Amino acid sequence: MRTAGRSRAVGGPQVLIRCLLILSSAVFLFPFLHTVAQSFSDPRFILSGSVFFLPRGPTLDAYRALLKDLSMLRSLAFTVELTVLGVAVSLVLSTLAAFPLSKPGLKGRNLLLGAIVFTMYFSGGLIPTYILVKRLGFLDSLWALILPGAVNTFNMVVMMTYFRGIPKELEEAVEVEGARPFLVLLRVVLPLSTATLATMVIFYGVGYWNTFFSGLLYIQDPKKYTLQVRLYQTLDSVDTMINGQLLGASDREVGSSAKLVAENLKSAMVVLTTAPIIVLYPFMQRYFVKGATVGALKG
Amino acid sequence: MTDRAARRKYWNRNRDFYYMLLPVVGFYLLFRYGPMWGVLMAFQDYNIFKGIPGSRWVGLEVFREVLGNQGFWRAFGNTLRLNLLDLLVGFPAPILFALLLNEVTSEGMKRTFQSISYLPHFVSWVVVYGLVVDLFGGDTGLFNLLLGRLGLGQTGFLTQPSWWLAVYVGSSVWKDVGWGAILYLSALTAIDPQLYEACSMDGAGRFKQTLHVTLPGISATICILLILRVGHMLTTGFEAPFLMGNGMVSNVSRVLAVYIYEVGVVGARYSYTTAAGVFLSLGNLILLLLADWGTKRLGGTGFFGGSGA
Amino acid sequence: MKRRVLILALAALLAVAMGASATGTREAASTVTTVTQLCWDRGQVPSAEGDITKNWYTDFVNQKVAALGLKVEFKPVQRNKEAEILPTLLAAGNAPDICYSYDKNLIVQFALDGGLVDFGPLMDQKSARNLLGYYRSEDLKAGQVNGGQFMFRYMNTNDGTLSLTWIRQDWLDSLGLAVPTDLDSFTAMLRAFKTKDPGGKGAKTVPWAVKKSTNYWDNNVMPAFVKDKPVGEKMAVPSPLWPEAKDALRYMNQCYNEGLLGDLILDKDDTLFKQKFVLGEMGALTDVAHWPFHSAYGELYKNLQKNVPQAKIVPATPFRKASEENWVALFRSEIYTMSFFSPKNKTPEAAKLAYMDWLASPECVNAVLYGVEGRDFEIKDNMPVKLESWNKKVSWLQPQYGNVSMRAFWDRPEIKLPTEMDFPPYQQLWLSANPMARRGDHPWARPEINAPTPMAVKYTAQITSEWNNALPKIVTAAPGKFNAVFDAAVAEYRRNGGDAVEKEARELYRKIYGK
Repeated sequence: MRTAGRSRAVGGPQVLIRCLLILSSAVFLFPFLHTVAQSFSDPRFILSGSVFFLPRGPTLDAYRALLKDLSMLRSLAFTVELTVLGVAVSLVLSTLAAFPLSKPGLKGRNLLLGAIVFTMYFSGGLIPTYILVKRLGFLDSLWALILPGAVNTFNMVVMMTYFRGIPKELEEAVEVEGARPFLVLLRVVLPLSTATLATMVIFYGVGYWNTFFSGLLYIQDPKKYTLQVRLYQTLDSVDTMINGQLLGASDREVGSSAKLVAENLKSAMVVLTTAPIIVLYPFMQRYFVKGATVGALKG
Repeated sequence: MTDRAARRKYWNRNRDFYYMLLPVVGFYLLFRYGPMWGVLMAFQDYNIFKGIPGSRWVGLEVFREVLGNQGFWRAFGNTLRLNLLDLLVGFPAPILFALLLNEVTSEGMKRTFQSISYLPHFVSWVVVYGLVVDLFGGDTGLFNLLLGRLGLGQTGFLTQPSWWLAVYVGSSVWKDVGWGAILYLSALTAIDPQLYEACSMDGAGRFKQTLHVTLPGISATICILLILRVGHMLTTGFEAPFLMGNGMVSNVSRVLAVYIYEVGVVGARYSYTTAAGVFLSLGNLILLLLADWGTKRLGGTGFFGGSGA
Repeated sequence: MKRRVLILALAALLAVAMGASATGTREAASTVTTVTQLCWDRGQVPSAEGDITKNWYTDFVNQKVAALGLKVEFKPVQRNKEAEILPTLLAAGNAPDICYSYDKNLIVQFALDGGLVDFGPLMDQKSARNLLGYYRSEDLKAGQVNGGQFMFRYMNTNDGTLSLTWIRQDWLDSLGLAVPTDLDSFTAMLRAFKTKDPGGKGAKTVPWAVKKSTNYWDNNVMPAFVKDKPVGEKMAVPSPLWPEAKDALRYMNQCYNEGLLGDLILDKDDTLFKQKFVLGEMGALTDVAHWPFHSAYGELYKNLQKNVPQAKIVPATPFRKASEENWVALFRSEIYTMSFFSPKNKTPEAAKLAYMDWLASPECVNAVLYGVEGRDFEIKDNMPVKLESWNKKVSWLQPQYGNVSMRAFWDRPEIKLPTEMDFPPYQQLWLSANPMARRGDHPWARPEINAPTPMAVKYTAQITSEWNNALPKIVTAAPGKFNAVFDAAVAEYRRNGGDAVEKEARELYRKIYGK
């Protein structure tokens, strides 16, 4: 699907470009392949440092351990639910904010935008937010993981910038026929914004999928642990390293824990968390191309 | 027409917009401004059991303690240095990458390259650290092994400050260039193809087209992102510098995030962390406003939509 | 008109937001009081057993405390972000009734802030029978702040995880060397490892390795240089300020420059350290006693023997004075003991004490460590022996639910406590290492100072972290530069608060313990 009128590099330069991209792809890809290889390898080879891009002593043990675990599957299901719901809420709210704020003529706009951006810098911190969530009755629920952070100001600003860039003529064409702003948004602006909407789905989606700290803080029901929380529990030894650095060796703690943390388990977890996103993204990608109908409408 | 009538007309035309903003304003009021009283902790000897009402007020004493500490300013300098390097290298990188991707004629290839490029974003820093050690660490690191084979001496990639900086910035770029390009790629789709036609009909080659059509086309995005980036110059993440840093390079790797964590968070010293946060946020905000003003001056689009052009 | 409606709507929204709708309603107990206990969910509960809030153990607990008129609910808190989460819960009044933590300083701070229950006035022979029976007077004293009994903690005695030096026996044998028992023979051994290369690994050989030297230079190496007995005021002084610190680090620096000490101090997650061990390139390593065996580290000794079948390791303590008693692990910079405490809240304090007392009962302690007799363990030859179901049902109890004691107690006097029957097939090796690693009683430990220590609270985190960053530079300093680097680091330590911390520590020691 070529975009009409755009001449791209062909021949020699195209070869050069492709070579560059192949090289960079290798650099991007190999560490990930390394992780995948480790996830299928026997811990003994990982410890010896002899696993590179192919698994050694291939074993499905790590995946079996992870997927057989009911609580892991429950966390997976919960996180999927969280992500879908969260993206819906965030997308709607962000759009409803970005569209009006992209109108330069709107009275009070600068004040509002300033007040919103201000919150990117100053916040009350953990304790007041926690108390608020508690007072609102959301503790230990899905909403505690969605509402406090429902609108990411950065994302909203990006959307706003995009809306600003849509040529006024397109909207005016519909407004002249008496369409209200809501209709303009739905009929004209959104169809043209599939690229940015797709981007927001990805950004918010990944954010919710990786929910970690709020999951630690607000959730006490084991059935509602997010995936990252659940994974970190198993990766305790890694965090022992992190904490050990600050608080002194917690080797003594390890002494009391009989749990086996296989090296391949860590890698398997990275793969599991990343896989859904990698699978989903290509589907989102085609929306990036759709947005190029701006020019078509113009004509 | 009269003032009143003008206002009525404005309201009738635009009230939809205000309705749209209602839930969002509610959100910010409730979840962002509601808890903001926590900032007061910076002016108290905050006692978690007594709360704000019961804790002792100490004025600017906490700020004095935070800012009077040499360690704080060293960490401050380290943060600035890392962020400046990151800005110089890490900001243009996704733009260039997006432009490069855009040149690929085959859609299928383009999509494949792009999909691969954002994989590093999902590899956690703990894993990245492990990889970095495999490549650059000690005498068993891949690079040093190669250097050894070529007869050149070993280099302390992770133990010498200047090399460490290079490795750190390099890994940051590697991790986020593909992900950062997503935004620019979506912005690229909004460029009117007819502009390219017009440009090429004027006889401009591909490179000139990029200069005169592509870049201006995404300039709004670039400006906003640049302003936001500058508006975060005084803060960094925690994980990356903490994991990648070590004792030998602590002179450059000990950034504010790590410093404040060790001094404040570990001991639950809320007054301290809040005061440090307020100070840094203030600094960032000022930088944001400066960047916005500067960008408008130079002809780009400002944050609030105005432009000097 | 419409604007007014808008403003009213916004105001209503805010009102709802600020309106107090309390959460976490606890059913008003008529005859049964509910007590909540903190637990660390590490994800170790097997799915088949249930989850952290409901499994055979929680049922067991509730069954036993019903007689006390109590019901117990377990509230999981994530351990690894405890320093941020626990204070937040406390500030919001949402923390469990009975909590525990390793971080004593944090708890002392809570006590000084006035947020914890003082159990002192409530304790008598009837209400605190088990507590008084288990904790010795020095344990109780260690849990007091300004005379108030805010914590319950036991003094860390022996648990086998203290550190010693593991050496490759096969290398010693091939060189005809004996296991070194003092510094000189240790150094001679290291030199022999380097020059004679008994492992055949050439340049890859690491004669001696210390991982995260931040923890072992004072615990292990420094005792070799301390001439006076480790008692008295000086035990309260931070280790970098000890005069012997320079000697210990100079020794390590000399070893490093001679190529005897490996360059592994920068290895954050121990990957390279483990790798070198498992590939058989390491001659001696100083670390915790169970490091080669424990599954959490990857069962390294087992893997070493897979790669190098003739490899054998033997424990040694070359840094201890040959003529004196066991001085290994002179002191620990953090004493890892579980401290139980209770925040003030609506739950009746008598109920909390009753539960706390039950936690200190043999019934509870034994269950957490050994499980149910007949199902999880049995007594053979007067020793408790773990059965097959122990792993499934008991292994995950203590790390997640805490325990007031690491030693089980039996009301049958003929039962001998085992000294860790773990790590097959290396039990004998482990048992032989155990007494070497054990510290005996706590006089060798840092003295407990449970008075307010504002200087320590203010400076310790920062100066310790800066010192830890300086250590690699000190150990790896070029031969002529050691003095300069070390002196500068200590000067920095003193200047940034070390002096104040030392002064405070000495004064408080004198006040509490006399001269």
